[in-house]
Amino acid sequence: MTPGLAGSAAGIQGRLAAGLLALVLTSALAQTSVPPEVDLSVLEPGVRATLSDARSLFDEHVATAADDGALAEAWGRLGMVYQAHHLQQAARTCYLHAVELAPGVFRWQYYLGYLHQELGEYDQALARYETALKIDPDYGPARLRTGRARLAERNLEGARTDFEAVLEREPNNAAALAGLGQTALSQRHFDQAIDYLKAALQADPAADRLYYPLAMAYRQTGKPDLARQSLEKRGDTEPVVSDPLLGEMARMTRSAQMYLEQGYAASRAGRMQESVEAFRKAVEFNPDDVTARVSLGQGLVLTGDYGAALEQFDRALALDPGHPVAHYRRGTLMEESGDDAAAAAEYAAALQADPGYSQAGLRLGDALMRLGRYEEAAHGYAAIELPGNQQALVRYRQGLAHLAGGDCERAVPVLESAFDLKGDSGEIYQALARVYAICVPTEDPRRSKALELARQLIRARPDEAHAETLAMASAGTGGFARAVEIQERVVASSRTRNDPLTAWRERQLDRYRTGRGADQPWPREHPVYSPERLGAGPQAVADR
Amino acid sequence: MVSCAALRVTHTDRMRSKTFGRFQVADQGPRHRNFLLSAALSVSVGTCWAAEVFVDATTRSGLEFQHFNGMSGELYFPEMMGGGVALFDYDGDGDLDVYLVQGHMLGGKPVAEATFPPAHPVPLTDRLYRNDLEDGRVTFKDVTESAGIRAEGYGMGVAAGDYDNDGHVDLYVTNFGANELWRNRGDGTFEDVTGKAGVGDPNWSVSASWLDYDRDGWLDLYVGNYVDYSFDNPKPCRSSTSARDYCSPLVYQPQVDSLFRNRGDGTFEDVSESTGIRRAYGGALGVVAADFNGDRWPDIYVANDGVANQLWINDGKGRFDNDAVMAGVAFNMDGSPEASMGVDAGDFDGDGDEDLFMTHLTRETNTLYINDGRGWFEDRTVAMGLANPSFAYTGFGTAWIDYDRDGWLDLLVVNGAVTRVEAQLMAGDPYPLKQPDQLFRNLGDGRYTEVTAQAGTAFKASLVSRGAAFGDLDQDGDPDVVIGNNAGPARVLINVLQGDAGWIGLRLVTREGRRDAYGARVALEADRPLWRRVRADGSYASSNDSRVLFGLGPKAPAELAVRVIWPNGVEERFAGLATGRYHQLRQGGGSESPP
Repeated sequence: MTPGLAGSAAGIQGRLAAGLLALVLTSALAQTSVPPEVDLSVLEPGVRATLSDARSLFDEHVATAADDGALAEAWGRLGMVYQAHHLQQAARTCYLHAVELAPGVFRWQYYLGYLHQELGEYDQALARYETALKIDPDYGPARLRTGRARLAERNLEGARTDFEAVLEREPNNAAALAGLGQTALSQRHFDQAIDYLKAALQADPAADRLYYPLAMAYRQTGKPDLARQSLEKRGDTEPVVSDPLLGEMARMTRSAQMYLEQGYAASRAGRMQESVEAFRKAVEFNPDDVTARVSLGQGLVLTGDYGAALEQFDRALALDPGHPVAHYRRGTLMEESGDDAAAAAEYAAALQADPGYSQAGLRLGDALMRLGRYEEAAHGYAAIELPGNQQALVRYRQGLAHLAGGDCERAVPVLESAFDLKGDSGEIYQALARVYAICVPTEDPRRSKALELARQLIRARPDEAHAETLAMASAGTGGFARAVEIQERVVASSRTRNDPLTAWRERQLDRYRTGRGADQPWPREHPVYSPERLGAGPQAVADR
Repeated sequence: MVSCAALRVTHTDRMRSKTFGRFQVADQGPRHRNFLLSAALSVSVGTCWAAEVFVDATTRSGLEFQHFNGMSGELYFPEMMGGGVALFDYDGDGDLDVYLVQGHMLGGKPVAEATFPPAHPVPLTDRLYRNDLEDGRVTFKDVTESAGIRAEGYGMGVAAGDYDNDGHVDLYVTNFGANELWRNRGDGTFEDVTGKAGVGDPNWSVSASWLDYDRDGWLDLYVGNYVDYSFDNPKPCRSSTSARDYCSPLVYQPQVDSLFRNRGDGTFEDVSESTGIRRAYGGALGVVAADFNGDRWPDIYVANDGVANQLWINDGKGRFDNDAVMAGVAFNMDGSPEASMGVDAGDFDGDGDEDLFMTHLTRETNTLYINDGRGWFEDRTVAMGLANPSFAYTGFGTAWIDYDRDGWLDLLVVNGAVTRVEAQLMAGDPYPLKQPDQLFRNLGDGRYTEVTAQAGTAFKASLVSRGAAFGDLDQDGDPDVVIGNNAGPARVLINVLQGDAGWIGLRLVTREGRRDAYGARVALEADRPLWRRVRADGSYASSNDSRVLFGLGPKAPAELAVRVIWPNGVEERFAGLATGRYHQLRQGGGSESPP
């Protein structure tokens, strides 16, 4: 061997030896490296079990790993389980091992990049994504993610290049079009942003979150009307990104919390069956999770499976006898089935557990009204505090409860309070007009106010109920002839329909004829004193 | 050590910038003064920074306050939200005193079950510290007892304002529970006038703002309320890892805010319904009042936690309309509502209108909205360089301050998590919410850069920061800050940045000369006018120094002129103001200024 070749051979051998030594050392390090310690005691039982199993599996695989690739697989799989459960520091450690052992494997670089991006470490995310893309340039979602990372880093031209690269392969990729729209918006190229965002919406019409940046772009181009129209369509759904690798990781999740969140998201988007399935998984994963059971129960109510819903509420209450929402939801089922007494008991239990549970208070009051327990109902309504205009409804109901209980005097200030809160409600107008006509002293100027209110009601809608109110107010201010004239028509109409309240109306007519005012705003059997039951109308849906 | 060679963008470069704000040319007064100021602001040689920008002067100042949140392992929601601070001159001696809110045990539990025992004797109350400033040295003395303030509620925040126009600044304390109004008698003592005034809002209140919304000369009060939380029904919540954690505010019903109109006789009228501010609400955490659409009526911006924010535009006739969505400030640029905590309004880009900045949750970024002058905004967080640096943090108290006195408004953000930080939790930290604070410098070219690493050791501390009140504690013409840390010590950070940058400070008072003219706007006359606003509100649950400070850069002129738009819309000009000191400008004491 010539000296040069000998030297060269020695150099090569030296480098090979060093490389082999490094590999051996790396393998040895990887084999002897201990996975990150995670305090499982703070996690829910199902997650503890999943992570324990994952760790056992990891130990098995490491013990039998034949090469670095297998070792990397073990580390990477463990990292995926940690990342799926948002234990990001632990996941990071695992992925770092995986990429060190197998730098040419796409998925470990990609998952690590995604982790960096989740943590806002965009520089590192980009580095990993680019490494991954060198391995597999065809994995579309990766280029989308580099685009988002570059956009966050204010590298707008770089982001544009990335999104355009995605579109070269998938011309109708809504996420890429949206990305270009956002990039254009950041560059203040508003017309361009409009074009891209509209194209994204055409590609994925369900991605209604895009209507917001579209609206902003319209606004900036001097089209406020189009902006407002877009804002009306604004929603919470982003463009769909099909990412098989992230999907694989997501399926590793074993957490009631995760399923609950999926269920809530589906529920918000109106996908009720999907939400029920997610809640069911949450319960399966953690049968003792009261929140999961109550959420499942509510989902079953909304999908019409009342028997199964009741079972879930019962099980929730078995776990937590004082759970206010479980009591409330159980109460709504009782109410819908027509059992006001049982419903009232459940609502009362909900209130006892949570005195601030206004909705339960309102439903309890209504149930008590239907049961004829007016004084209790009035007391219950008085304790409720709802925000804004909703409080007017509460005061209105309280006023009616006083009237039904024969307590005219207490009804007046309460109905006045309702009127102050919501002076454009026909129902409150009517109630106030009637109590002014009957419940205040004859010389009280509010008697004239009754007439004024009644006339406004008739002008707004000349129906029989308002006519009856006008008759009452007329009689209340001494206009008996007018009261008789109106009430005669009311009675005639009532007789024609065979209305059960005809006798009461006739009695009022007799009173007007003999120069006396009405004796009560409504008879106790009038529907006004019996608030509509859940399931009987639109309120049922709103209440759910 | 930091580099002294900080590059500056020259005035000419800024004029050429396509994406930067508009410039208004002032045409009043001698041009040479404006030229000198303009030239001074455009000098390309950077200010030589000291080793520290802020120093932690807590111990030296004698401010010994440890916040007690009453936590006992139950993860009660209110326990991690409190820590407001007020900087105000309670004794009228010209320097800033400090008020700090305090908590107590929650859920009826005994003190023995507290995770961190209280550092002060029980029963705990809010504390008032008098600043005995001498020769530029800040020294605080606890005068709570002698002041007669016995605020024993579970404190959230505080808003300082002279509601009765007697020349003495009063305090409105927001609580988890009924709020309190403490009237400053002017003799060093306070009295609880909550009942008489009618402002004891019983909801969970956090931030409040004093503003004269109807321009009748009396300060009205906006109270931001959070959510309907009850100890009778604590909801067990878990984080995404499934570990037990604090709940999201979205788990609870939001509470409506309140607006109280000052009748001028020591009492207030609840005008929440009649003014329309109850037509939209969320869990309010930050509140700031400013004229956002340039019509000279004060508007109100409410930063809500996790839902759309509100921008209440004052119609000048006693009603407000919420224009946040169309104005572009209800959501971020993606259309997502964010968990807003702290907020500030200011003219950071020097175009004469009030922009908005607010702090958000980890993984949401803080958000900066640029005003187009008409009350419509653009989310330019990413473009300004403020997105990435905030992604890993949950921001609370914040303000636009010119810490280096170069005329450009910088940003200071105090941080502290609201869900337990994985690494700290796994390490066994009993209160794993700690995060460091941040400082961002306005480069003057439409961008910010984070300078936390160069700001000094004061920024290396990692605590659960919440409130922050900004003001010139040592009267040296630059802003300092007092930070309220949840279950931690209050910190006094004094600005010690060396350099030759000039300054001028102004206290603007009403015609009678008694009260700070909250809402007044003042512009320094120059080729690039600098605008500032008289305010105490903003940040988080805190109350700031209501004086305005202008940084003038190096080689500041000896004298300046300013233009003031008073809260009632009248304009005046004040000339011949010497730089390097504070001035008090009284409405009516200047010359009439054309609009």
